[in-house]
Amino acid sequence: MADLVTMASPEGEVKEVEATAETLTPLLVAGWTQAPAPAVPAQEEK
Amino acid sequence: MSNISELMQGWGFGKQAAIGTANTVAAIWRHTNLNTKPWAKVPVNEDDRAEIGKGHEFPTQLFKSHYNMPTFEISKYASSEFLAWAMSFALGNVVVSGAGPYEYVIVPALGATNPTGLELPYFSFVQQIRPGGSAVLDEMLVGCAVKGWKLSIKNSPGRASATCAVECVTTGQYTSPSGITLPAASTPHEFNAGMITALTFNGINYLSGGSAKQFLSMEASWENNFRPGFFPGSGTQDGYQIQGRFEWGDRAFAVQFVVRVQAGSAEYASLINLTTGTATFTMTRDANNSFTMLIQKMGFNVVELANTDGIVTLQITGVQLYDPTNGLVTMSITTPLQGICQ
Repeated sequence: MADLVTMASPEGEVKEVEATAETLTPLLVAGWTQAPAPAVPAQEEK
Repeated sequence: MSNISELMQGWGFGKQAAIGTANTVAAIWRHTNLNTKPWAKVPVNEDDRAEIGKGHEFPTQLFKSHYNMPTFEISKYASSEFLAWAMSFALGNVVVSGAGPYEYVIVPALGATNPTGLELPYFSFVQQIRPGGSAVLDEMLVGCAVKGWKLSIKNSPGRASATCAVECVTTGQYTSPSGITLPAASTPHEFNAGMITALTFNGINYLSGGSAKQFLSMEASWENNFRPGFFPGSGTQDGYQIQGRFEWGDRAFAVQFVVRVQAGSAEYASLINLTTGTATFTMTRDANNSFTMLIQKMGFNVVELANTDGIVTLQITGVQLYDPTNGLVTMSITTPLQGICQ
């Protein structure tokens, strides 16, 4: 399975997609750019 | 004095934070270069010969004008690292993923959505001869950009069968001494023409089937056609004006290739019928090093009968059309190096 990357649209929408040329190309052409991966929330102590 | 073979060159594989902010040493690699010239600095002076009121037509004074920095070519055998660098800095819109090897997907940036408008990423360029207390040459050029590249695939043996020449520009800003201790020269993972694993242009497969033995050579090139970067507030170096930005103009993507003619060659028919299709060019060295150039919609502009070293050939000029969904071209590169253009 391909790695996942976080992408952001020009309007600010953020989503994770497969990091393949087939998936990324239409997004990049539509103005999406790579965004930092969302921070993983720290686990609460029990 | 020193021999040119002593010249060491390194440049940012990571991008600068801003055009005037040099790369740190952690984001600089060192490479060899097939271009044997150093990058010259050319400050230009002017005089007052055109001004009246001196009593004669001769110049009487010199004035500092600007740094007219020539373009500089980094020419190397094609490798996964160098192609990832060249395509990233030339095209501008880069997505990187993976944990080693790293996958780079690169398309031409769009002015409307590019965070830096019409400007591409910048890098620093270091050139040194005997750096240290009595250096012959030790300087870092700041604010360099990739003006264009040419990828050449030839019908010949060895590394020379796959080369990439990158033409660079720079602002005129520099630091000397550079303050950089260059790392050991990189050992890039190079390709050669024998590693081509996909070669289909406009529906014609030149690796297998009826056209498998037709292909001779290819040249693909990209040109950013930068606009001059002198403007109010562009900056100075040593009292000379420098350029403060490189904005792309009308970019051009050209592909030409040569194939041998055979009975039933399909290229003429594709030209006359205005046939278009994708073009896929892939070189694969191993699981960690590959390069794919996917042209989204290619037609043929010229198909010219010719003679190449005694073989009857067709010299084909492609026209790369912009597809509304998939754009012009997508470069996909797998390489072990992290942080290219990041």
